[in-house]
Amino acid sequence: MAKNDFAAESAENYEQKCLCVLVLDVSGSMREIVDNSNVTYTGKTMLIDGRTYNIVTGGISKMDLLNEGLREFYNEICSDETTSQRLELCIITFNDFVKVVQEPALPENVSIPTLSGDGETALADAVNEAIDKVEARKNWYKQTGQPYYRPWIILMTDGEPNAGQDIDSLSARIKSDTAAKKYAFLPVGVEGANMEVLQRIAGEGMKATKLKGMRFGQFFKWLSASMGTITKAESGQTVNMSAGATGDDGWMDAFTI
Amino acid sequence: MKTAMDFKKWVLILLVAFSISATYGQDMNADYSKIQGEIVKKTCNAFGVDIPNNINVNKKRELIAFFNESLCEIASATKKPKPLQQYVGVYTALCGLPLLGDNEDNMTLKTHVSDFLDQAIAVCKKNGKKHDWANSIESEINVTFDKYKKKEESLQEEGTDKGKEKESKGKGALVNGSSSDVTGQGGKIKDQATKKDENAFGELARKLFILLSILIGVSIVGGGIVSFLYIRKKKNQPQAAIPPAPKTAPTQSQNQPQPQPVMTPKTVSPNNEPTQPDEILNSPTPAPPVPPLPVNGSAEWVVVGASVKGNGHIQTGMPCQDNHKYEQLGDGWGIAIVSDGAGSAKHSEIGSKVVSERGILHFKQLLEKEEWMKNNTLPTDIEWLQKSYNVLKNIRNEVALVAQKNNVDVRDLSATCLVVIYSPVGLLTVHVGDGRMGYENMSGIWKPIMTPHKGEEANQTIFLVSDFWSIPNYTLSGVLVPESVVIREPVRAFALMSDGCENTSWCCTAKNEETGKYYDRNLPFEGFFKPLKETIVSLYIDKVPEEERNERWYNFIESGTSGFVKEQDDKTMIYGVNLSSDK
Repeated sequence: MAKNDFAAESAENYEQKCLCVLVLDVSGSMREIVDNSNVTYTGKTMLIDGRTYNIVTGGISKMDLLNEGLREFYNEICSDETTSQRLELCIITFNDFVKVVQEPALPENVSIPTLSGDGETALADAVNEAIDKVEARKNWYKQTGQPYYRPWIILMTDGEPNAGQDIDSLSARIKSDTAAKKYAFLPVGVEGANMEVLQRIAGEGMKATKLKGMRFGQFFKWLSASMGTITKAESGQTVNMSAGATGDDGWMDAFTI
Repeated sequence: MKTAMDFKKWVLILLVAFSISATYGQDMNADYSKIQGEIVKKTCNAFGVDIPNNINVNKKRELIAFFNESLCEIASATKKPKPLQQYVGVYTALCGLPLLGDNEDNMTLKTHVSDFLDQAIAVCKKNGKKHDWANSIESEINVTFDKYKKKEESLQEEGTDKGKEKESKGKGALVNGSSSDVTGQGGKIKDQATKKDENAFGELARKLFILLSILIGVSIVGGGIVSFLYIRKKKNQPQAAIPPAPKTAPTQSQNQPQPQPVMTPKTVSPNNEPTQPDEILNSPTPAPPVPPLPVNGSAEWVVVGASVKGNGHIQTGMPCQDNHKYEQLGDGWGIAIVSDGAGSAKHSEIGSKVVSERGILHFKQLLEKEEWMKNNTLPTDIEWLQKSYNVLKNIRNEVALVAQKNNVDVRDLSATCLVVIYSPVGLLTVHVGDGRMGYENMSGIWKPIMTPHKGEEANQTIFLVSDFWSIPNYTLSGVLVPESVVIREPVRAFALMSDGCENTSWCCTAKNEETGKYYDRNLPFEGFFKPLKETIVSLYIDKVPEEERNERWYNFIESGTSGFVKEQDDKTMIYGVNLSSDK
């Protein structure tokens, strides 16, 4: 190399963190078949999540699509060098109960579970758990002096919250937290979701959105791209939410922020 | 005698209160605490009051403790509020006395006053004493503020240019007055002072009003301090102590900054049509090109600089929001500015352009005015802190003007500002926002200069147009905004950059294995800087023209390391090498 060409070593630096909490509905209704091209009816019926269903074998359920989307999401974030060093993933599922299936961790320390559905929809409990996780993690970041980006909470549900769920308190909590920019909250409704409830709990600056058809795959693809942008975001940059989200290949029905 | 002692004590307390209120809610910065400590000490001397041995006047916490303690004493000792009212003038004046900046925001001033009152009342309540005196202070302060406001309004109605000039004169006198006047000898009787006061009101800007209030107050106190003649002299010979007003440029007429620093081009249509960002910056007063370095070695510095669009901006089609500019002034002096436009702001590439272009002109003007360059000396820390603060504020006001002219919100022009003035005797630096600055001393050691201003989240910072100007002594990340630093040793090289370059060139966050905690090492990475310096020198020796040097530098910042290739954010770096140091 000519001596007139610039060359230099690079410093090694610790990567800042971005926490993403996925709050996923695994109530019984997620077992609903959405592609019945390969279905055999058993002749039996069952009452799940307030509705009567035929019990079948074969076919593809919402849950199958969710699992597939989740795995693709995981592969995407692992394949991006920067994102894989910055994104901390936390997964919380809910039906009758709330379960933290993955504590916050970098992708390399995450094992993506195969989710199965049953029971009802303890939506508020699950989101509250997610917020608690975010707060705890942020405290840990602060205590240990780690730089971090604003955490994200993403809620996916296809149902109606249980009767006992305190939506009003949750809504108030999220509104005040997001106004204070404590985290970003994105509620996503899958076919059958009560969008009115999701709209009520949506925070400042981000509306509840509805998954177009059963495009779990497109959603997670968008999410990994967005997380990629966030984990590399520069000073004060806002994420373009609609890029890749809308349009023919998008995952959501048209929306604006 | 008891009353006289009370008087003295009250003045002391009020001064301490001022010190506290001026930094209310903030930790004291060393430079500020020095000034404030100095004021307290000098006043105590003037009034023959001893500061308790255990009080460190430079420490805010100790001052507060002392203040509270004294308040308790006064509250119990003073049954009658009558003499206290006389000190309202002193207090009001002192609260309005800015150590830095204009403090033109009356609301801020009021906040400080009410903070003080709350504190005073709380202490008195806690001790079960009556606090009538506090109420009377409050009403007195309100009356004073109304007068003050009216005076200010009437002043503003007078010609603006004139008013401005006067205002800055007043400021100059005030800064001087704050440290030296209180120790002066020889008193004036009350009546005389008041008459002069009335005359002066009509003539002087509000800053001088504040100063006068101090003088009156102090005169009343009977300590008998400041000579009015001194002030009048200052007024008649203002050029002695005036901070630079961006009014005239002493040198080349084509580079002269205009009184109305409007960046709007002549091509803008008069009917307020939306203007293209690029057009906005066709400045009517373009800065001159950097004079090419003579190849025979008489110049002392080689400087390279580049602003490169980040990957993220390439993907999203955003413009490069970083800008930079540098200018060699001769005699081994020069100015370099880096400005990083906020990703979240709509037209921040314009903001950063205004900051870097106009910044050069303003700082050049300051250098010419102050004759630091002429005398090849550096100002004191406090002087640089004050002057650079004023210059940055002027630049900020120009950004606001550009926003106004183009009908955009000033926040749409959010950008950081990093300034290095390099010289044979050291560096003068000041910054608002994030990024990094460092230098290599004559022993070959690279050192950091600044602490980046960071918000709670990793990608947040503060910008030149942010709302911190009305808050006295505003700090972020433990340092003042703006943070000014004087390096008083000759330097071999310096570098300043936007945060897009820091992951590659700087030692940033790392884990302390002992404590398990992460911290910002804030150290220039020598493996990065050292080889580059050699290349810069060899480019110079090989007589590679400046334009081509900068082109190669651009290519390096664009893709010279894998970190630079990956970087999503815009990248800007200016690197200056002192050639004479390697001889």
